[in-house]
Amino acid sequence: MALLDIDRLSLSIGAQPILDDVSLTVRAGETVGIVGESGSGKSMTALSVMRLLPAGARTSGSIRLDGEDLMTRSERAMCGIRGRKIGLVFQEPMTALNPVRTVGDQIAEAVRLHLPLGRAAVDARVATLLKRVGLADQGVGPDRYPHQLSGGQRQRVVIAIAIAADPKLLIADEPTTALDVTVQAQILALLRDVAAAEGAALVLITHDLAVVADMADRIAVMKDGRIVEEAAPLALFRAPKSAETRRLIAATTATPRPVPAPKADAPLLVEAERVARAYPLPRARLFGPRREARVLDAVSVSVRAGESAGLVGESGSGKSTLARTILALDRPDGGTVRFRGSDLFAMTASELRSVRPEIQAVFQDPYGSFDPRHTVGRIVGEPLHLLGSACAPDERRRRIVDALDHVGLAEADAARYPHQFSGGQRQRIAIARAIVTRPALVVADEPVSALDVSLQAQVLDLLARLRLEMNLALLFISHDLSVVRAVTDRVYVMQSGSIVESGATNAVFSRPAHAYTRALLDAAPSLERALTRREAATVD
Amino acid sequence: MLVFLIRRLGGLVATLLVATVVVFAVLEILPGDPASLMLGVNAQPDTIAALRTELGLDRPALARYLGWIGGMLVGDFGISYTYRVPVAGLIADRALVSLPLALMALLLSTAIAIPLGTLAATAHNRWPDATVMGFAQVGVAVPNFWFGILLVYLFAVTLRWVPAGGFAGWDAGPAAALASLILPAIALALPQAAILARVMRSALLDVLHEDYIRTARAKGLPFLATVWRHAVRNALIPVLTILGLQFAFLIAGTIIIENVFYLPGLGRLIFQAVAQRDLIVVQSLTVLLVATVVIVNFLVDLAYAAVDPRLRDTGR
Repeated sequence: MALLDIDRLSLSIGAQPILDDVSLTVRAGETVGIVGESGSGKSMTALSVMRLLPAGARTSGSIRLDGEDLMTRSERAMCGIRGRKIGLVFQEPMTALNPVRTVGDQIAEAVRLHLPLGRAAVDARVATLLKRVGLADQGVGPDRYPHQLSGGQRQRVVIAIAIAADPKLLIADEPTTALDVTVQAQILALLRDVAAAEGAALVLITHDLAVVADMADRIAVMKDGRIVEEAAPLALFRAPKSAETRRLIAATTATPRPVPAPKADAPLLVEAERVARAYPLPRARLFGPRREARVLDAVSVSVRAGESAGLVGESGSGKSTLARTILALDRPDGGTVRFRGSDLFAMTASELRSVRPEIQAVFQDPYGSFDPRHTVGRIVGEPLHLLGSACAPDERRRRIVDALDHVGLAEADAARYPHQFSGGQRQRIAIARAIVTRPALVVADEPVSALDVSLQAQVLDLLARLRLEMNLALLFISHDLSVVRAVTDRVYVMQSGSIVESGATNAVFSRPAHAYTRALLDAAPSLERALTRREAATVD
Repeated sequence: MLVFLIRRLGGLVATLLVATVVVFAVLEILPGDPASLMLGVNAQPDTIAALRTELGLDRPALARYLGWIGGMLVGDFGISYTYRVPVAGLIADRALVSLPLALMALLLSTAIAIPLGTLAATAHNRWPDATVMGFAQVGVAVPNFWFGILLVYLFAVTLRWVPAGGFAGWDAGPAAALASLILPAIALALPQAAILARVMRSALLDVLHEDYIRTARAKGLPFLATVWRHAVRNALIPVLTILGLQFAFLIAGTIIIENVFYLPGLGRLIFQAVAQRDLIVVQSLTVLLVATVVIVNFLVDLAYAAVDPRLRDTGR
């Protein structure tokens, strides 16, 4: 008998259909992957099993756990099942823990709810769990608060909570999406270990095909609330049957159109030389020594006209601070940033104003960078004020329409508002805003990290096309190595505020010289590598 | 934590110093000489001059300021121009009425608002929510003195449970004293409670959408237990802010309420002192009220740190 048996589950919230006839079984000890793009119903399937759906949700069908129908259980009975029989690990480690209570307290709560243990036994269980998820080895005790831990450590706490009462089923919903690649690899390994050691089944929900190809025994592909295909990884990815699976694979392996590398004698656009930046920290003790966090330490980076340079590194490595410096938004403590040979931070305000149209930016969260009350036309046209009187109303309108056209949006879209667009379209709007002044350089800080793979592929191709059409130089900042590899000519690898390796992208990625680069490359999930490994295993 | 405390204390002292300078300067600039006012329009110039010397008004401003500050530090607030008694004693007597009143109102408004705000949030969009918010709307809209009059009519005139006004004095026993304070405290508390309940409700609704609430529910914690153990404490952070800010309004409210209920408190004292141009009393009272508000906000800051461990670490 299957441990979890979801049979013809349908779900609607209000008038909105969310899930349509979803059937899925999970056997004891098995790892099942659910993949699909955002909005395909992956998370809602998990929340349906937990009966933690938002208000106004209506469901039909049945969900059986160990033969017992969860849909007809009382709320009270469900409280005895959540945590006890099913452990849930969520996407957002930064916000998944209560900030005002210690991690030990939050783990102990999960233990006490389900296991009849005395105080000392609960404490002992918490200590065991902290050891089990590898936190004890990192010196993290039960008396710490969430804000004192890193993202990866917090996710370990969340896993400790999920396994606190030895559930037979673990559901992990995008457990590593917000984490760096090396941390992601550790957390995935931990999940696999924990599930194996406790004999628990694991349902792994993710948008990342490489992750499930590596981890799952069986994979279900979801689209628009339906499961469109279900198979073992090799069968699914080597011989996909559904159009959606093929589309996901194509998007994952897509490379943007090739852009010829700039000539070696192309003039230097930006030269950042030995840039240093530190932020003051609060003193540890009153009258204690001043403390500071060194974010950039003698960082030198340059971009030639028409070139695409990549900057990779994990969160906190200083990538975004460097981007802000090159955008002349943040004054460095030391070093210089020259644009076409003149020092940005020695310029007068009006000189700087005349340079700004040449350097524009695209950020990760386009929606956060738009004023929701402005029309798209106004948002896109905003940088034109930098051109001053040189840009008359007619010219202004022409430029806005031209920029929208370049990114594949219609003239009529200028009158609409940002909330009327999807995530991918919003990133196109952000790109239109960046190119409206016809800049020489666009600094793109994680421009596709918040997008689904198919949208990623489209946006990357758009950037490549703009480079061809406008001879645009790109400083492309990302934690995602495969993306950087696809779109850059040259790459800088950054670790803790220093550049540890740089060179032609292909050379650095195929023959990494620095241990950190190698670690990043090894940790980065790769669909092809996972499949090859599986094939090798079957041959043995 | 110590850094946090000392920084806040430093801020407290600085605020108080600035307040004394502003209060002193404003009263210095205002027209009207207390000495001539006390002696009436027919007073001889040399009598006025003599009184000015007696009151120390002929000394330079800086000397008077420093004398005033120095005096206050040792508890000497000067002599009231009109009552001719030490201001310190005057204030102390009145404070015995106003401080219990303000404290009762504060406790009452919190005791009403937190449970009702929690109830409204947990029953979001259902009838208890609508009822609580309806009453809160009325509470915000209706001025507190009108509540006062209504309460007097109901509990003092019709039911005769408590006196309609005046203060029995603490000598008459705490029961009698509290009985004369309870109606004004309720009148003061209701509008505050209405605002606070709304803040508590919206803060709690925000918190209930946080990911850690979902984590707690996924552990198997029932909904109400989740609210109690995980949501309320986080929701208290914005509520505390409003509580601190409201205290100043509470004090302003006592000026009106003490007049409505004929309570010999600080509010009435400041009202009379302003009318009689008893500058020394106005000066000292204003600084005292500023001090109270600043100290309450200092306590709010301490409460923040107690509620939110993140503040203890950063020393912000």
